[in-house]
Amino acid sequence: MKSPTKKDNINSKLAIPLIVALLFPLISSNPYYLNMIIMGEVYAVLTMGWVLILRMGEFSLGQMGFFAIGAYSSALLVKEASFSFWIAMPVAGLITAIFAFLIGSVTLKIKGLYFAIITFALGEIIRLIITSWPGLLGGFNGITGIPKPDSIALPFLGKIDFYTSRIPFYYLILLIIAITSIVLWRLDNSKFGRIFRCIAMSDILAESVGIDLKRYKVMAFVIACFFAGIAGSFYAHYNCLLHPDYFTAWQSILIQIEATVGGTASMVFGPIAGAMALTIIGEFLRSAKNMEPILYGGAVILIMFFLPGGIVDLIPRLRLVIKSLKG
Amino acid sequence: MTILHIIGLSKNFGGLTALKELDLEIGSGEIVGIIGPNGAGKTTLLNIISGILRPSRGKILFKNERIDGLPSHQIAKRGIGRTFQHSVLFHGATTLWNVEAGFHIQRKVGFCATLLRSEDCKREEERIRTSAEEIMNFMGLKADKDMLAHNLPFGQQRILGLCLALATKPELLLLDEPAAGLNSEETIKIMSKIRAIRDQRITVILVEHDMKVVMGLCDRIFVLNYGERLAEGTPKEIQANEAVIQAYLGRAEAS
Amino acid sequence: MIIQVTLNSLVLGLTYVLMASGLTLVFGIMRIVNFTHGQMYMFGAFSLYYLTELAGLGYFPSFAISCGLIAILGVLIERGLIRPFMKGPSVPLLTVILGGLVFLEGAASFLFGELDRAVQAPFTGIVRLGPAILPIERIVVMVTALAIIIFLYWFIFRTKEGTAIRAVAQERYAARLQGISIDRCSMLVMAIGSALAAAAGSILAPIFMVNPYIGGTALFKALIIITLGGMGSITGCALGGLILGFIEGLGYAYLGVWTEIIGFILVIIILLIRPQGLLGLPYEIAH
Repeated sequence: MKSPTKKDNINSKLAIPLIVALLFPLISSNPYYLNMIIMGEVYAVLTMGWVLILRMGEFSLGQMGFFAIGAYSSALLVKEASFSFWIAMPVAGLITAIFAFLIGSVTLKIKGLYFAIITFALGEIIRLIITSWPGLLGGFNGITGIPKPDSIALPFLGKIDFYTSRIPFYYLILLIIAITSIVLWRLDNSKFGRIFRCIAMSDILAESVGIDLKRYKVMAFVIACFFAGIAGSFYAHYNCLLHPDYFTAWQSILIQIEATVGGTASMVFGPIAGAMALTIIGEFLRSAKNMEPILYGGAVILIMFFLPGGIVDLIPRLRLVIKSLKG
Repeated sequence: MTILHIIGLSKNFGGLTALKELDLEIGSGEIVGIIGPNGAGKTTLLNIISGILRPSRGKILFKNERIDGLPSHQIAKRGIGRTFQHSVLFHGATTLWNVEAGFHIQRKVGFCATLLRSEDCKREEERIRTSAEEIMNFMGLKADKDMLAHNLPFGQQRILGLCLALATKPELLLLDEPAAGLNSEETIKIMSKIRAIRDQRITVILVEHDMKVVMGLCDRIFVLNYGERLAEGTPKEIQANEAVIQAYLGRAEAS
Repeated sequence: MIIQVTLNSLVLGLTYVLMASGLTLVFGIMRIVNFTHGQMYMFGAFSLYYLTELAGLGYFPSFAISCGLIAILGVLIERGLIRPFMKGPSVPLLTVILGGLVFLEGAASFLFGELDRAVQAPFTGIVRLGPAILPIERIVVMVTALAIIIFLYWFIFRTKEGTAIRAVAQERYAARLQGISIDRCSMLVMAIGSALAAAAGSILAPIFMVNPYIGGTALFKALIIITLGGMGSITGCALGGLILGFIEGLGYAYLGVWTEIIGFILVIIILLIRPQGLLGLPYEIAH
C-alpha cells in the first residue's frame, strides 16, 4: 500500500489527459460525441464518489438518490426561486451534503450487506417521493423547462453563452471533474485515506488506535454525496428535463459496475476510465438494439474473472506478463 | 499509584452472567496477569476496559477518571492500548503501514491543511514514519517493514500487534493471549518484548493461558472463575493456592 | 369494502410470499442474497409464455418444464458465477452477482424484445364472497404459495437432503467432516431456489404482464419481505409477505400512490433496529 509520502503528484499525471481533454472540442464539435463525453464525465463524478465510500469499507447502491437530490434542488432553486445557476449549483451540493449527513449519521452504524440494502432502499424512497409528489417535484411527469446556466463573462474569453452550443458545458463538467479529482485524490493519499482504509480492513482495530468510526464514515459519505449533488445540478441544467424514472436503483448498480470495470484501487483514474469507457461504448451499443445492459453486465463479470484490478490494472498486468515471459 | 481501579464490575449477556462484582486494582508499572478457565470472563473484562462492551454495573477508573461507558476510540485516546486474540491486523497492508496507522491519535494536522498538502502535513508524515521505524527497531521488526502483514510469520504478527498498540503511546496496555499459538522460541521472544515494554514504564495487563508466560512475567496475578475473582497474589502465592489448583491450574498443567 | 381490501391484501401477501420463498432459502443456506433471483422469476415467466403460447403445450406441463429449465439456469449461475467468489471477500461476490443481474436482464431484453406479453390464464371465473370478488386465478396463487411454504418446511426439516442442507448452513466445517458435499448442497439449494422463483413467475405470468423488466420488481419485493421477516427463515418469509401484503393492501385502498414507499421505509427501520428481521438468525454478515 502506498505511503502518502511517495511523490504521487496528481498534477503531473493529470497533465497529458488534461491537455487532450482541453483541446478536444477544437478537433470535433460534433454534439453527439460531445454529449457522450459529457455524460461520461457526469457519471465519472458519481463513480469517484462511490469509490470513496468503498474506501471506508461500504458498498452504496443509492448514489442516484443523492444525484437526484442535487438535480431537483438545483432545478427548483433556479426555476422557482430565481437563483442564478452559479449559486444554485454549490447550494444544491450543500443541500445534498446535509441530507447525506443526516442519513449517514443514522445509518452508517450498520455495515456490509445490510448497509448496501439500506442505501438501495434509500435510493428507491427518494425516487418514489419524487414520483408521488406532483406539486413541487413534478411527480411522474418530471420537471421540464429547466433553464440552462446563465451566461458569464470570463476574462480573455468574453461572454460564455450556454444556449448556443454544448461546448461550454463540456468545459464546465471538465472543471467539475478536475476539482473532484484533486480533492478526492488528495483525500485518498493523505491521513484520511489511511483512516478510511483502516476502517475498511478492521473497524475494531481502527477503534483501538483511536479512530472515531462514525465521524470518518460520515465524512466520506458526505463528501461523496456532495459531489453527487453537484453532478446532479449540472445534469439538471444540461438536460433541462428531470424525470424520476431516470434515478433508479438500476443506475446505481451501473455506477458500481463502472467503478469496478475501471478499477477500484484507484481513486481517480479507475472511476474515470470505467465511466468513460462504459458510457461511450454503451452509447454506440444503444443505437444497435439496446445491448447496453449486456455490455455492462458482461464487462464487469469478465473483469472480475480476468482483470480484477480493472482497466487501470491492464498495463501493470501486461508488464508483469511480459516480464515473466522474458525471465 | 493505582492506574486502573475496577469497582463492582458486572456484565450480563441476556441471562448469562459473564462478570460478577469484580474488584481489581492495578498499580502503575506492574505487569498483571489475568488467568482462569475458558469462559471465566477474561476477554470480556478486557473488552469492557477497552470500551468494546459496556458494563452492566460498576465503575472503572483510569488515572482516577471514569472511563466505563466511553466508546473505545476515546478510551484509546486516553492512553489505553490493546492487542487482540488471533492476530487482528490491517492485513492488506505492509508492516510499516500497520505501525504508522497506530499513530492516528498523535496526528494533529487538520482537514484543510491536509487537502492543501501543506508543509506541516508533509513534516508530520515524516515524523510518523521515523517514529514507526523506531518502534519497529525497538521490537525487532525492522527487517520486515515492507512485507505484507498477513505474510509475516505468526510470532512476528503478534509483535506487529504490539507495535501498533505501542504507537498509540499508551500508559496501560491490554494484551489478549499474546502467546497463544506461538512456539517456545517465539514465546520467549515475546516475553522479552513485554518486559521491554514495561521498562518503558507502561503498565501491562495480560490475559494468558500459557503458565510459563504468566508465572515468568507477572508481578501479580488475578484468577477469575465464572466471572468472579477466585484469588489474587504473586505467582508463588497463586501456584500454592489450593482453590486455584483445583479449579484451574491442575487442568492448565495438563494442557 | 373492507372484505375486498382484506381479500386483496391476502392475495397480495401470498403473492409476495411466493416471490420471496426462493430468495430466503438461498440466503438461509448459502448466506448470500441472490440478486439474480428477480431474473429467475422473469425467465420463468417467459419460459411459460413461450411454451404455452408458441409451443402450444398445456399450462401445467409448461409450468413444470419452466421450473426445471430455470433450476438448471440457477445451477449454472451457482457454479459459474457464485462458487468462484464464495470463499473470498464479499465485495467481489456482490459485484459479480449484480453483474449477473444486469447481464441477465440485458440478455432477456435482447432475446425477447421489450414488449409486454400476455399469457392466457388457465383458470377463469370468479368467486363471490358477499360483496367482494375473488378471481379464481388468485385463489390458485394463494394455494400455490401455501403449498410451497409447506413443501419447504417438509423438505428442509423432514428429508435427509434437507437435514444435510441445514447442517451445512449452520456449521460448514463439521458438515464436511460428516461427508456432506458442500458443493452439491449449494447446487441443490440454488436449483430449488431458482425453481421457486420460476414457479412464482409462471403462476403470476397470467396476472401481471410479462416483459424483461419484471425481475426488478420481484427482486425488490422479495428483498423487502426477507428483510422484514428475517433472512433465511421460512416462517419469516411467510410472515413478512403477509405483513407487507396487508400494509400495501390497506395502503392502496386508502393512501394511493404513497403506498410503494412504505415497504422501503420499513426495510430501513428494521435494518436499523433489528437487522435480522422479525424471525431471522442473529448473526453478522462478514464484511
